[in-house]
Amino acid sequence: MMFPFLRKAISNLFSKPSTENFPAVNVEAKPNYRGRIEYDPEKCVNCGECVKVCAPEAITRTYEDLGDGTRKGTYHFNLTSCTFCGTCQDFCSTNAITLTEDYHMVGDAADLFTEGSWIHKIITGKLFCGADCIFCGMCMRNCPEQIINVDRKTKTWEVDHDRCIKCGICQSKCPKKCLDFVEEEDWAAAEKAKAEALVVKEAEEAKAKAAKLAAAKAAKAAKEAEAAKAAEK
Amino acid sequence: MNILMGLFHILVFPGLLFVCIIGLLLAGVDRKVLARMQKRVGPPLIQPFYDFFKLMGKETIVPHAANKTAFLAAPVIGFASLVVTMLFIPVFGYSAFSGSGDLIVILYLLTIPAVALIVGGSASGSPYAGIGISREMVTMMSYEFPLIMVLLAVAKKAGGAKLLFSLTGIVAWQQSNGSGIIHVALIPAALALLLIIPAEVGTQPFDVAEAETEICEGPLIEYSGAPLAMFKLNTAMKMFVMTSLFTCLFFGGIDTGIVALNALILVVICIVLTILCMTLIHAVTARLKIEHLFKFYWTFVAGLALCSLILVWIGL
Amino acid sequence: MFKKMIADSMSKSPWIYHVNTGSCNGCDIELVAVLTPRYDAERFGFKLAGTPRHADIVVVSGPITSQSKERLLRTLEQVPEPRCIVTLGSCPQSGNVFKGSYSVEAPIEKFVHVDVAIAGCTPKPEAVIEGLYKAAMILKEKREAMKK
Repeated sequence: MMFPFLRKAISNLFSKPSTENFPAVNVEAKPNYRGRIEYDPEKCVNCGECVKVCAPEAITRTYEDLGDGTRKGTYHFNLTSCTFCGTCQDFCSTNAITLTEDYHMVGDAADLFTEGSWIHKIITGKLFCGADCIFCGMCMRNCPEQIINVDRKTKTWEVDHDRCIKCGICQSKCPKKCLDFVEEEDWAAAEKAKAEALVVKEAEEAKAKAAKLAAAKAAKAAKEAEAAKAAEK
Repeated sequence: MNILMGLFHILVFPGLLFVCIIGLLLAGVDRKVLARMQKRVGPPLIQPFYDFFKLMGKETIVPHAANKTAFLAAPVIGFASLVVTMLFIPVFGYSAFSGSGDLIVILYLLTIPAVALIVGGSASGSPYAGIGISREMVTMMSYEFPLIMVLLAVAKKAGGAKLLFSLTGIVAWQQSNGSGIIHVALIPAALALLLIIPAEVGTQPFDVAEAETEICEGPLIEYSGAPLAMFKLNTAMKMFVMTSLFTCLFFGGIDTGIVALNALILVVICIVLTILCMTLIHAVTARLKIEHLFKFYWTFVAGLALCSLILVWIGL
Repeated sequence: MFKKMIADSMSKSPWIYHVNTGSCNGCDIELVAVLTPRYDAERFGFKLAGTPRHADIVVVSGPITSQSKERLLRTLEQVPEPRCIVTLGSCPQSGNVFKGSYSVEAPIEKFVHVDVAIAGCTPKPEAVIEGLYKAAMILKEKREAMKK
């Protein structure tokens, strides 16, 4: 046949068009579509990983000093610069960034932004673990950077100070509230205090241990005596 | 009264207003049906009106390299000639102007829109327009030859012993002897004219001159605003003029006696013809090369027309 | 009445001219997808024009390479008023992943005013339709402002 589409054209003429009635009826994006970025400042720990991994430099962070020892940090997600690759979402350790299925990103370029800000205390100094530590490992498990290392058996607590982002999560998660950020000049004093406290604690512990041992001995003796009594009968 | 009637003929029916509105409507039907054939919803039926008014409201740019007078006059010349053509074509016995040789006048008038396109294109001074006008000229040469033969065949059939070059006469002959399409000798001529219409109008397989994906609409490349609107209107009007010429030559036997009803029948026939010979072919074919177009018209279409001419001459 | 018809028609028959300034072809494909039977932008009168002189909406895609910058500006100059400029995808607005390259003149805002930005990499055809529709409405406003 010379015109292979002739029959198709005529049958199309009498069949329903396959056009979606789009602006009148909204069309949902397919699952896992990566659209408009949503940012939850409540969850954000300001680790800055998303800024680092963003290839087109769409994510920027600005600070505004509020003066009373706190500052306001803002994350800007420029949607007209984004490639919607989802790397920021993958790297965010607290799931503060999500790429939603909303694709209606149309309008003035100045409006195509996602922003979120939070206010936090300006933290300076280095992370210090006090003498009350029970080596439970809560700080290790909650650290977004995974730089705290706790070993219960050997009773060691280590942190990589160079990689610490001073988010303060460990501080808030610590059950004994023994973590603190200590300035460089106060470091020696803190160490000293900790050592003294440890000595006291050790002495107390030794005392407690001795008392426990004595109690156990007494209990054992009493038990033996009771057993001897029973044998006599 | 005569002057008033003449003005009415020229400005309202079957002249300016009628041909403009029906032409744009035909263009709208063409676009809508084409969209439906491609399984789309398509633009609204009055989309060409929107296009026309929008282009009227746009800025008109005349390029530096252009000859301003020819550039701006070309679309108006084409427009005027189309309106005049329509005045000569009778609407089933009702004709504004008539004479003994109006078939020949129409033949000349029908070339003027194409010539206007060529003049406008060459005045715009763009190399794309240069390619476009050379193609337009070849297209014109291709379809003019079979067109003349088709008209000759009809004229001979209607005239009997001698050629009858009056459209009113041809229509009158059809009303007494039946429409042209029922005469076996004229069927190849009707087919040939059906194939000539898309080339004359410049729709898809034969739009080599205005190939928008290839040479950026050829002669129209530098046009914008009102002159472009005129050219778009010309194309739409050409659709109506050509289909009503076909109706007049081959369906002339239908006459209800009421002018308004006749006009309505004419419009319906024109819509059917538009769908048949422009939309359907547009939907199922791709654009030809210029040499293929030339070959197609001088062999296949001219063959059909010649066949008809011979059949008429031997008295079938 | 005539003026009102022109203004009304402005938003109902926007013709698109597409300029590719070094795009990866993703956005270009999506723009063409808008004209396919499934999305069919011709419902609103959209049509791809062959030349900037016929265009109402100029769609720019790509990060504007140094080579294409001059051509882009020359093309934009040839579009008759009223006109609208729409950027397709992230590239023309910021440079996207090409940001900072020596051969990219990224933000288009440096040269011309952009009316509508369609974000996405690449935008969904639905988003493209939405953006073009918005541009068509702006076209009408511009026409009304032109005649005052």
